[in-house]
Amino acid sequence: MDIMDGLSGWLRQVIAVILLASLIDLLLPNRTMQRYVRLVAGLFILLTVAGPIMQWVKGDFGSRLAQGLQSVEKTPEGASRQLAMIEADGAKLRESRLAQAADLTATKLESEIRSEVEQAGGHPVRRVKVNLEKVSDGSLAVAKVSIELEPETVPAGERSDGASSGEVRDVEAVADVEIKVQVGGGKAPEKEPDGAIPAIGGTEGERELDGETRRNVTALVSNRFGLAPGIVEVKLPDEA
Amino acid sequence: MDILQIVGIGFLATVLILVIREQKPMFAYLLAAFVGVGIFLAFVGKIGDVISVLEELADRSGIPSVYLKTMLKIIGIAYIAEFGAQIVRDAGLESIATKIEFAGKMLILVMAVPIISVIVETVLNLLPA
Repeated sequence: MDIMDGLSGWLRQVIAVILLASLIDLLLPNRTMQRYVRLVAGLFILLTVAGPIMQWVKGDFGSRLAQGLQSVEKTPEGASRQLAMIEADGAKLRESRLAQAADLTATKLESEIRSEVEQAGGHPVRRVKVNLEKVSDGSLAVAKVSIELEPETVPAGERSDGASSGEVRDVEAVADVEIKVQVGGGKAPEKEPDGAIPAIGGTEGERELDGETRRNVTALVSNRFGLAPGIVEVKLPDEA
Repeated sequence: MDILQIVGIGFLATVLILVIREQKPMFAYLLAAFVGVGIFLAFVGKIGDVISVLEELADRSGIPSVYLKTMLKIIGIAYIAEFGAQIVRDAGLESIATKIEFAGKMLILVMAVPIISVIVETVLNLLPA
């Protein structure tokens, strides 16, 4: 029974393919393509007639034929080159998008750190710079945050009130003396070191306060933004 | 009824083209091309009925669908190449029309390459080494 079933199926296929070929021959627009179309139709009929033998010799000829026909249809000339070009363009676009995202993130983070330090810490900020770096898994991480503080004009005036007022008085005195200096000129070198000494004393006094400010700002930024304190660098106005 | 309409449009277009051709050959050619495209597009959908019959035939007889697809592609290539070649031929450029037909023939032959390769491989395997 199996042989009879197989035989009848094969016969049916042969008849169907021949009918198909004749219909396609009818559908052709004119005679110029007829020879070529007949060749292909004849090959299909040959394949169908020889189908059982082919299956016996090579089990998978149907799938190989389908694969071959699909590859003929789907691979135009230079497809691999075009694909490589498209992929390279895609990689470029992806990188530029990542760079844009990194810039945007850095800017946003900078503005947030600035507002945080100014509002919560109470220190005016001149500039915040956030450096992002690619880590091993391709994502971005904050590599360094450098915060440059604005010189605090009002508190500095309050802190070094005595020194600065002394300086002002000295300057006034110098201005007075300067008229004499134009005449004599002997006292001018003495006044300059007098003016310089309180300034040195003032910076030494400020340094301790600056260290505290630095620690405060570093702790604030590292706590609020979850950054390691080591990567936060606070520059004070003197260093800047 | 459809065929009467088509023949009527064809006659009308022919008379118009013959009249215009004396004055403006360019417009005559354009009119011919557009009438051709219009008739082609209006009736190319009818071929869908034939194709559905063919698909049913293929399904019921159990022939692989690749055969039918390939044959339909061949028909499509033949029609499009022929159509383009005729429009170009109307403009009097016989050489370009021949090239279009040549391209169509080549594409049909390329379709046959996988079939030929499978047959040749099988025949070679049948023969004792």
